[in-house]
Amino acid sequence: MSTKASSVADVLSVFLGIALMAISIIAAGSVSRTFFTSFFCGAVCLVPYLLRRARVIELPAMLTFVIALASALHGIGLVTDAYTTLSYYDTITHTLSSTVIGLLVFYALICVQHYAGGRVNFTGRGLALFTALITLTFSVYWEVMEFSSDELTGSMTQYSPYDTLTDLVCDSVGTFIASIWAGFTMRGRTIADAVEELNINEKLRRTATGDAGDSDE
Amino acid sequence: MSSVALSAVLAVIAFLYHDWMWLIIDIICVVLLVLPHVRELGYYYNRNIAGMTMLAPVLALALHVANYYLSFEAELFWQVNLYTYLTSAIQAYQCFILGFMLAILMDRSFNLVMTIPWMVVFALTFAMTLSALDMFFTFGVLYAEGYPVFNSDFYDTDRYTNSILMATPVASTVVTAVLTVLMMIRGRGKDKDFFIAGEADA
Repeated sequence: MSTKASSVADVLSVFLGIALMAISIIAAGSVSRTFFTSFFCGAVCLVPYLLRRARVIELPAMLTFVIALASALHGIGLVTDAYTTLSYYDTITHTLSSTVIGLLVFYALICVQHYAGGRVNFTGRGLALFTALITLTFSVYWEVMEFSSDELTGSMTQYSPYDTLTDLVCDSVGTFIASIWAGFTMRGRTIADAVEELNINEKLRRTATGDAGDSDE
Repeated sequence: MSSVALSAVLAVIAFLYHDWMWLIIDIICVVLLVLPHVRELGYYYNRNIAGMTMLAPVLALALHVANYYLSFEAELFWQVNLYTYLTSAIQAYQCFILGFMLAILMDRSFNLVMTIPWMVVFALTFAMTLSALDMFFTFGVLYAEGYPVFNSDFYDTDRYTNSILMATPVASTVVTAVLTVLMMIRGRGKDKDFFIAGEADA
C-alpha cells in the first residue's frame, strides 16, 4: 500500500475533521441543536489517522478518505441545513455512508477468515453476498432507529415512506459500490496480502485469535 | 413432505390474497426443502429443521382465526394494529429459519464454510434483508390505495404511514434478535452435522 497515498489521505481527513470541529464551535450559537452531532462528525474524521498513529490498524488510503468525507458531509449538512435546502444531499450522504459500512464489513470479514484457522471461508461470491447482507441489515437497523426515535422522542427524522425507501435504495447502491471496489482491490491479491497490509496491532491480533496469532494462510 | 405441502398451501393462499411477500417466502421454503431431494446432494435437513418450517404457516392460520374472536386489529401500537405486528413477527421467524437452511446449504454444497454462529448471523441478516424487501411491497400497496407517501402529501407532523411501513422491520428486529440468542445457545457445542440427516436417515 502506497505510503504517499496514506499520507495524503491522513492530511485530508485531519483537515476535514479540524475544519468541521472549528465550524461547529463557531456556529454553536445559531445551530446549538446540531452542535454536538456535527462536532462528533468532525472527531470521527480523525479516527483513521489516530488509529494509524497509535499503531492499532492502518486502513487503506481510499477508505480513510471516504470515512472522512462521509462524516464531514454529514456534519456540514447539519450545520448549514443542507439536508433541508438541497433535495439530493441526503441521497449523497446515505450512499457514501453505506459505501463506508460496506467496505468496513468487507475488511472485517476477510480478517475473520484470515485469523479463523480454516473454520470459515467467505471467499468468492460468498464474501460479496455476506458483505451485502450485513450492510443492508445495518441500513434497516438505521431506519428502525430513526423510526423509534421519532415515536419515543417526537423528533422527525423520517419525513415520509418515500424518503425512507430512497434511503434504502441509496444504501443498496452504496453496498454495490463497496462490492465493486472490494472486488477491484482484491484483484491479483490474496486475503493474506490484504490483511497483512492493515498492520493490525499484535495485541489486538492475539485477542481476536485467542492465541499467538496463527493464521490460516 | 408435510412441510412442503403446508408451504405450498400457504403459497396458494398468499397468491389468492395478493400477499406477494408471503408468496415469495413460501416459494423459497418449498425450493429449499425440495432441493436436496432433486439435486441428490447426499444429505437432507433433519426433522427438527423441517418441522420448524411448519410452525410459521400453522401460526399464521391460527392467528387469522384467532383474530375473529380476539380482535387483534382493534389494538394499536405506534399507530399500527397488533395483528399486523404479529403477522410480521411470524414472517420474520420464517425468514430466519429459511436463512439458516440456506446457510446450511451453502456451507455443505457451495464452499461458503461457516461455523454455527456465522450461520446464525447469516440467518439474521437474511431475515432483515427480506424485511427491507417487504417495505417496498408495503410502499406499493400504500401508494396504490391512495395513502400519503411523499413528503408533499403531509401537512403536519402526523406521518402515520411511516408506522405502517416500518411495522415489518420493527417486528423483524425484535424477533430475529430473540431467535439469534436462542439459536446461539442451542447451537453451543454442537457440530454442524446436527442440522442435517444422511440419505439413510431421511
